[in-house]
Parts: sequence; C-alpha cells; structure tokens
Amino acid sequence: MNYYEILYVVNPNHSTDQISEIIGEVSKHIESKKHAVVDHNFWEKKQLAYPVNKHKYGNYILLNTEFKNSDFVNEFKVFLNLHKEVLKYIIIKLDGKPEAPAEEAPVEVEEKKEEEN
Amino acid sequence: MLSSRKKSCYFKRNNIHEIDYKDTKLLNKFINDQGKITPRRVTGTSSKMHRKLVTAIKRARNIALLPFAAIDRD
Repeated sequence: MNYYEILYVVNPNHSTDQISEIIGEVSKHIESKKHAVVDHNFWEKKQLAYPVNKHKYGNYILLNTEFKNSDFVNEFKVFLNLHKEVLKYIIIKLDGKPEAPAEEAPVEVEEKKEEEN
Repeated sequence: MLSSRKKSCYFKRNNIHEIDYKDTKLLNKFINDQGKITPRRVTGTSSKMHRKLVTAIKRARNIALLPFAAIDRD
C-alpha cells in the first residue's frame, strides 16, 4: 500500500461543473480498480509558468490516493495520458499517510529573535 | 574591509523541515529573474535543505508552477 499525491492541470476554459465532472471521472476510474481516493479537490486556477498546449492558464486539481500495488501507477499514467482534458500531471510517492487538508494551519509568525552580539 | 557577515539557513531560522513543491511563494525566493536556482553560497542554505529545495523547484517546474527559463520577464 502506497500513498500518492497527484497534481494535474486541466483545460482553463472549463466551468466548475465541468471540472467536478472530470474529478468524478478520475475518482471513478480509481475506485473501479478498488483503490482508495483519500482526497480529491479543485486546487486553484493559476497562470502557467510557460504555455502548455497554447494555454496560458490552467485549472489545478489535487488528488491524494492510496494504491494497493505500485503497478497501478503505470496504468494510471496511461489513463491520464489518454485523457483529453489533462494537460499535465505529476505523481509523487508520499512517505506516509497524507495530512488532512484542513490541518494546513496558518503559518505562525515567529517573533524575530535578534541576538545581540 | 570586506564584511564577513555569516549567512544562515533560511529554513533553519524559520523551523521548516519539509519543502512543498506547491508553495511557489517560498520557492520564488530561491530562484533568480531568469528562473535559475540560486547557489548555496549565495543563499546560505544548509546542504540538507538545499537538496530538498532543488527537488521541490524541479517538481514545480515540471507542473508549470515555476519557469524553466524566463527570458522575457519584465
């Protein structure tokens, strides 16, 4: 059992409905192979650092999954490659179980400790 | 006289142990106008954290969060 974090970019011209449709489609594919989706959400619409398929913007979707066997990664890559709406993706293997997104607490502003030398 | 102010690791100062490739605000501090990674001798980052930083920047480049090369940036 391995945890993976997958970030993928879809067409920027899609509405929120179409995006949730894609999210559902991808989740369905994973769950149909009996793997678990931990978290799957629209992240942000961002300007791309360089044009991808002539698009200047992209809708980023973040997916956290748990695959039972690592062979599924290659299978999933093929699925994403063949998916028309996915412009780019990155798959990263996590060391442990991903933290819940709500845990991302606001960064505490640390008081600057000025040491007098 | 050359000033010999010792640089300290940004991550050590701010108590950061893991670097997320999605955190472009942080990563932007460590790349120059051209999009190149600033060397360790300039930033003063510890070697352990610099290695993590480099992987994070390269991942971010791969998913178009950071540029590979930004020539026409104003």
